[in-house]
Amino acid sequence: MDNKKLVRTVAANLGRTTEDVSKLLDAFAGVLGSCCGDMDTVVIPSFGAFEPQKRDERVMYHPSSGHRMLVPPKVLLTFKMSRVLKSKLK
Amino acid sequence: MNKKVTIVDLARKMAEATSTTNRMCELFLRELFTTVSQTLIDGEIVKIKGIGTFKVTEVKPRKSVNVSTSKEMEVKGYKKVTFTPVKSLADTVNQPFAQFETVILNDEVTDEKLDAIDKEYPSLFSEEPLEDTVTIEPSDVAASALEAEPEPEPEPVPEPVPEPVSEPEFEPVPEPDVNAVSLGHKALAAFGVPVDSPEEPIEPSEPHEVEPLMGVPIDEPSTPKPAPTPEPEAEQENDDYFYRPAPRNAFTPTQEQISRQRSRMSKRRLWSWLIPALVVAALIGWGLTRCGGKAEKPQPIVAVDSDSVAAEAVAPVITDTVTAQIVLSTLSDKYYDSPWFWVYIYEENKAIISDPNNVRPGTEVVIPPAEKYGIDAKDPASLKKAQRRSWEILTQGKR
Repeated sequence: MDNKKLVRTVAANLGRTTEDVSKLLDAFAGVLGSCCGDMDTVVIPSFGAFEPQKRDERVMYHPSSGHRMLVPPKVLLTFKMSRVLKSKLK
Repeated sequence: MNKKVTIVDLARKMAEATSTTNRMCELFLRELFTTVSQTLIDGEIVKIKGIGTFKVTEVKPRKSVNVSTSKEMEVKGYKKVTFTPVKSLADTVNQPFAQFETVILNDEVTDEKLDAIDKEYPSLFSEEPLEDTVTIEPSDVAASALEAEPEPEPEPVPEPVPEPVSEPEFEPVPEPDVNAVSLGHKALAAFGVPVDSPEEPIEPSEPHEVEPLMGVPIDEPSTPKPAPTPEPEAEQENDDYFYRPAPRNAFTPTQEQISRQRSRMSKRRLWSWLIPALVVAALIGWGLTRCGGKAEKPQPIVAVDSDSVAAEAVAPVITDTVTAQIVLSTLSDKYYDSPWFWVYIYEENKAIISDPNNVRPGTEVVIPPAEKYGIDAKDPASLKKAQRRSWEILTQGKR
């Protein structure tokens, strides 16, 4: 399901226009980014949690050239699905 | 930081951004994720603009061993939802580390060296409590050797340099009478009276210290520890051993830079023992006038401290105050036209700043004159030096 179809489906279910829904979706993306940028976990009930996780720096070997590389630390946005969703998926 | 944001909080924030009602936003979120999960259950991939892709992947059953009974068992397979954020969202989240890049390590950086660094700075990015006094990390011999501020230890080992000992005496206590004490010490020392003042051990200790330092293997990271020095360049090096988290504007590091820095350090340290002996005599007189003159100032401590550095600091002391909005790099930008030079402000004020990332609002810091550290925003070499130092403060702070 691509973005267009998703927006259309949600708009139909809510009885709103697609413009409204895509505006809300943009706002959600912005809020999600700012929350996770502050290292806060965003929890969506019965769906899952968006959790920023810090990865330490590490030394890795370049698979083809054999160079050793120092990989810098980073913050990843991870998603953990909720138990409800897990049981529904079975 | 590390809070949980609920759907209600999200709806409130979204409503602020879109000028709709909280209720509408919450309804939208619930509807959105019901749709997404229904689609996922149907086995479809969901792509959302500005957020990312959700996909169901299957986790195969696998064999495992029950830890308590040590019997083999099978972990059941299941389906899980994987999420890949779009680049823009991933970059927003990774913003603090955005300026880092993967670097190739040279051959001279051996695994042993990296391990040594790991051992030496075990706690990179662990949270440090915000305290007014300088905290001593127990894991860290270097730090404890250098940051012996709270109680000046009567050391049998010749701690030759005046400043490291004298700092403990007046730095942590910002009280006016402390000045008088230090003044007294200096005065007595000036007349050759043996006080417990830091001044006198310099000359005798000189020969003892130089020898072992000569033999010091340059790449050995633990060797620099016993030698806090008062000399200008050497003092900057000292600060390498104040293990603090660097402000976010740290830059891309390489391990060889660290080791190069180290080798330079140990060379400089040799000088640092010789020069102070000559310099201190001049400084005593200068320190006397300075202590007397600055006694009523709110920042006498740092003023006195700067006598360890160089006589050129006689210029009027510029101070500024850190607030919630104005941090070290802001001040650096203001006074030196580049945020990178925050390191020197930190070094100048390390006695009152325990963590450059967490300077208490209201802290009054001394802005060192630009010449003292060779600060020049237009000079790439000077900038580079500051950047390297900020990296050092970062790496040595934590791991």
